[in-house]
Amino acid sequence: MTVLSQHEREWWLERVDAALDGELAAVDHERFLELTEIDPLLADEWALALAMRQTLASEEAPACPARVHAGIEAHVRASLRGERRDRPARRVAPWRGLVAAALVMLVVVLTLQLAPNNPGPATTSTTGVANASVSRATQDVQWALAFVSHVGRDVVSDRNPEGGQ
Amino acid sequence: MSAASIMSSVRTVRAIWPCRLLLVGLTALASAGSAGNVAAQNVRNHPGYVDLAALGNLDDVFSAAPTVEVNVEGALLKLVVEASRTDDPELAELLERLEGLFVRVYPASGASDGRIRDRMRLMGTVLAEDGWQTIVSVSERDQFVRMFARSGVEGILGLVVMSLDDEAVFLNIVGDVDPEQIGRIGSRFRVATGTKPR
Repeated sequence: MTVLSQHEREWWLERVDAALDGELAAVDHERFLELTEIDPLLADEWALALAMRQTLASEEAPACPARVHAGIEAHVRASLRGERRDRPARRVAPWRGLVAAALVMLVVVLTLQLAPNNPGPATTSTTGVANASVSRATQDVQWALAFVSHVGRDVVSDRNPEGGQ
Repeated sequence: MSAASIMSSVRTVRAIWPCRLLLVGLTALASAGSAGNVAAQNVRNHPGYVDLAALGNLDDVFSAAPTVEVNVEGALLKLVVEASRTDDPELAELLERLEGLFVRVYPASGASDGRIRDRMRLMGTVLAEDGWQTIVSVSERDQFVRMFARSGVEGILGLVVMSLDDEAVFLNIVGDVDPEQIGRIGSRFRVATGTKPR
């Protein structure tokens, strides 16, 4: 016995694959499973689908015979050779050369600008702007100003200067 | 003009435009880099600049290499100015008027104090002969300090400080120096003497 009309059954039968692939909405999937309990035709289709999936999953993929494989490769090679022959010579856009030259120039300029030419101890140099830490340079400047301030203020007030103006 | 030729022109412009943009950008970059180098060279021609290492032949006086060498000039100085503009506008304003700041610090052992003092005195004499004015001069047993300034029509052009205690410090600030402002701003940083920036 079934409660499904012919039209309904056909509608659900068309969705067996979707149910198998988990593509039905949760509500539809639940309804589908309920119907497989009460409709023998739908139950048979569902069981068949499950069995097929089980079988296919357990079977190893058939290996392509070496003869066929070699034939496909030969065909592909011949096809590629033919394409190369027929293809017109690739036209290199004239601006690409300029872009390449410009990029080389960029690398040269950056290298010249960024390479430190005074590798002294703990040097902060303009020639290594990219390498120099601006915050380090700021600290250096602050220290230098503090040092001058100390010399000009504290030292002079603490000591008796030999001379000065 | 046909539609086909118009489209062809559009395609040509589209092909050339990125190339032009790239070349213009690179030219600007190269110009900026050159400008940085020119600025770095200019500061060394500035009347407030003194190559203290060369003037005192410091590499000959000190057996060890400088423990600190600071050369803040040109592009780096501009970056420091920009970095300070938000946090410390007064510092940025001061630095904006400078052309460069150079420091060398050498370790000084007690045994070589006399030699270093003699060299500092000699350097001071040369600076004075070159028009630099002595603004601080301290010769104590435990401390030796010389500060010089060079003035121009528009004000002070540069400052030189030489100091010897446990270390020998040679400092040159190049540009429109306002000692009062330096004293005020410098005192804010509370960097103790002897606590060198490295």
